[in-house]
Amino acid sequence: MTAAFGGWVLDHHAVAAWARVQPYAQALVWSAMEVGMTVVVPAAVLPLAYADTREQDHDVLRELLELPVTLFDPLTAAEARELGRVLATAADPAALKLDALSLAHVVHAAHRRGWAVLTGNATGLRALDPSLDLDELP
Amino acid sequence: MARERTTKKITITLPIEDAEAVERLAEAGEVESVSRYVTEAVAFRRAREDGLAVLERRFGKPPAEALEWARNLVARRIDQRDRTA
Repeated sequence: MTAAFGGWVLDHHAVAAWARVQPYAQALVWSAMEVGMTVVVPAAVLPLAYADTREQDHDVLRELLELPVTLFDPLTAAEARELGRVLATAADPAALKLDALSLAHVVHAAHRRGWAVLTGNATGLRALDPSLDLDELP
Repeated sequence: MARERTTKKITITLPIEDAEAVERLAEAGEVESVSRYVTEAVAFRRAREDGLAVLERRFGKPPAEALEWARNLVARRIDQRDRTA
């Protein structure tokens, strides 16, 4: 499926919500698929998404990665340098926590495409980039 | 040995405006051919419908309230994209 119609970058909260089959995350993916939009899962969100979900949710999480609507952003050597830049230029470095690397990959993926982020917690993302375009899960 | 056919020639009917728009794209070299354009449109729709069928079979259709929220987000983003295009 093409990415030409835009979409959302998912942070680890959104990916974990999908894996727990929470209705708003499921509905966003459903609605994106209805109109040919795309969701992006940056590689660095996966460790925290797995950590935030139960073992029995992990098969569901993997299914998200296999959907035709999903794009996976790998963490390559080149991407790592870009994430380093995102972290080094954080608007509020003191607010960064355990999920900083994961969120940095989200910020980078969103900037690269000019897309919004679907998030369950905007605070960490705002700490990295207050100008980021966010849609918050209810 | 003869090669197995993987395509089938059919006749389709499109609104004049759509047909001419696709022909113009093909003439301008923006798409490989009218057939290629239609093939991709069919593949796109099938992928979408297959994907939704997978989701519904696996998880069920999301509740109406959540779908309304998501469809509003989609509409807002499409509107935003169209205004900045």
